[in-house]
Amino acid sequence: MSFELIMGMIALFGMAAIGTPVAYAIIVGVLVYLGVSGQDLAIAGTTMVQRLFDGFLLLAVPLFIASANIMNAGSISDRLLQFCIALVGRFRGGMGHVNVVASLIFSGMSGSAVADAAGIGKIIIDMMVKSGRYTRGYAAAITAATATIGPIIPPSIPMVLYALVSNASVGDLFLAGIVPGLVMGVVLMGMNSLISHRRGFGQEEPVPLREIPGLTVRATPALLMPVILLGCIYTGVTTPTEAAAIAALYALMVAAGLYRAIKLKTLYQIFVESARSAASVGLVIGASMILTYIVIQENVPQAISDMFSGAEISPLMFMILVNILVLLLGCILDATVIILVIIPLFIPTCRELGIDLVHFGVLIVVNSMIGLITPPYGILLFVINAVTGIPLKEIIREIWAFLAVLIGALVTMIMFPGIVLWLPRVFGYGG
Amino acid sequence: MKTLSKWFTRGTEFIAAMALAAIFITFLLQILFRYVPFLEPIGWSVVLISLLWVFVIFFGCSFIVREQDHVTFDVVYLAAPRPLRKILALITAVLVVAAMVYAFPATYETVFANRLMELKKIQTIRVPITGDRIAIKWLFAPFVMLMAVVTLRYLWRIYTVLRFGPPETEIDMLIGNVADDEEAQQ
Repeated sequence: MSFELIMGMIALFGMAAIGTPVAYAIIVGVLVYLGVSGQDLAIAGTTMVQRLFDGFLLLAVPLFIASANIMNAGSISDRLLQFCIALVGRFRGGMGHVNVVASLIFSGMSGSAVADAAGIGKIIIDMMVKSGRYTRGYAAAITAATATIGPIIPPSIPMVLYALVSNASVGDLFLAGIVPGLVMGVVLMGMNSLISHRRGFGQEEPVPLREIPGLTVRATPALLMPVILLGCIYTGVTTPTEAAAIAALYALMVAAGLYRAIKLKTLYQIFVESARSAASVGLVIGASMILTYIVIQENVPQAISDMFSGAEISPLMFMILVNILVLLLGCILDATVIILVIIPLFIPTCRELGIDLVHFGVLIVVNSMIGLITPPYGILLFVINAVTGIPLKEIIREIWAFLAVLIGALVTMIMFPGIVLWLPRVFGYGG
Repeated sequence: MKTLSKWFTRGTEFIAAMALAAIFITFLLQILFRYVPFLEPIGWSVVLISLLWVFVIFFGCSFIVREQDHVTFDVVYLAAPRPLRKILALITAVLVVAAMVYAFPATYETVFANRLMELKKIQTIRVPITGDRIAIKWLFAPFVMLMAVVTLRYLWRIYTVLRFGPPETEIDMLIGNVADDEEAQQ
């Protein structure tokens, strides 16, 4: 590592640590690097603009943000909830199961865990607390834990970002996320059952079986989103980015047409909010891209790769080490930054060790989502605390059990790549 | 003055929302024109979309992204006592302003005073009606604007921090509220 890179990193991490917006901290760090090494300062801006302009895949990001916002705005969540209650409310700890199933379904419509937690998550927490059967800390904790499934099941913004840095196919990554997402759902439901039996949480009034088909039909349009998305990509009808536009159009049609849940004014507001999040996420993406440009210019990924191949480390050991690192970083860093800045450092080593990049990508996304609920700095915990007012202390006390089973699921996925790679292989993935 | 800033916010929000809507619609047109018989696939859509995307990011961050909307690691800031926060907020603002002022001349020159930027045109799209091609400098212009606006915003922040004390973050305010609630309960 050169002197100028060290100076740049000190500026970057120093500023980020004291609360400078991450994107600006990166830009300042890059300017310091360019200044100390005597390069043209304009490179920072021009490279950033050029990379954003060329990174066509990234356009899926604002479109997924828009479709998530559309889906969360309508009364779609109500219908889905009724469907979930009918399905799993009858079991002990019913609302906890409803929470998991609703997240599984909702994750098929939005690519953002934060949107899931703030949208449908808040509704379920209110229902759980009102029923009087659950403590508010438990309701908040299980909601945070289930929201992490959101970006594992397609559509998924983190997977798009990973595809950009690794050149893995978005379609394969999306397919590869489905089984791990379901596995996470199953382990969370298992933990919920266990805790519910032990503490004697009640079940919901069983919905008569004959009502289930009707409720299913009413929920079907919303359930179809991932099918349409993957259908568009896999049949080659659209590119992955265009499929994101189709997803947004479909969300709009379902919300406005079928469920009559959206007014023009709401729609305008959705676009304003989506533009706002797209701009702030876009700036972080752009800043991460110039940082990556410099890190590659300095040959850091190659140095890391050489270091690992010198140490004759096994692929499994490497995976475990990287995952531990990401898990730790996830406690303090944003998932976007981890995927765009930290992960590219390890991609050459993965290639060298023959690690499958789709498998690796899904593990990293699962891992950085777990980071969203890891105290002390878990964005999802903050979001739920913000929208419900449930004290962080109570949420954190209940989160550990769920955190443990999710990490258990991650370890299983590391050990058995088949969980991740089976589905894409069925559809012809060669890795 | 208050009404002026309100209308300014509304105007900038409108522009950003419309740019995003335009991206969305252009995507749909691109797919439509490829599959509907008798329509020629359009070639300009990809470039237009990318251009708008760059614009949405830098225009958005200049005008409609509020300070608390940015991705921030604020654990240390939140843990710090108030006088220290004031210093941290000032360090951030001063360094950002310094970096922007430091890099602005070079960036401005590269984008606006460079003949290549003027001569090189953005491919495949033209201004409607006049049919002129767009110089590539306009692709980079929103970034130059961001640098100028960020400088002004953080100068203003230095003033407000000195005058009114350190800014509170969104999470900060909420945690504050919850803490107040707990005290009230006890």
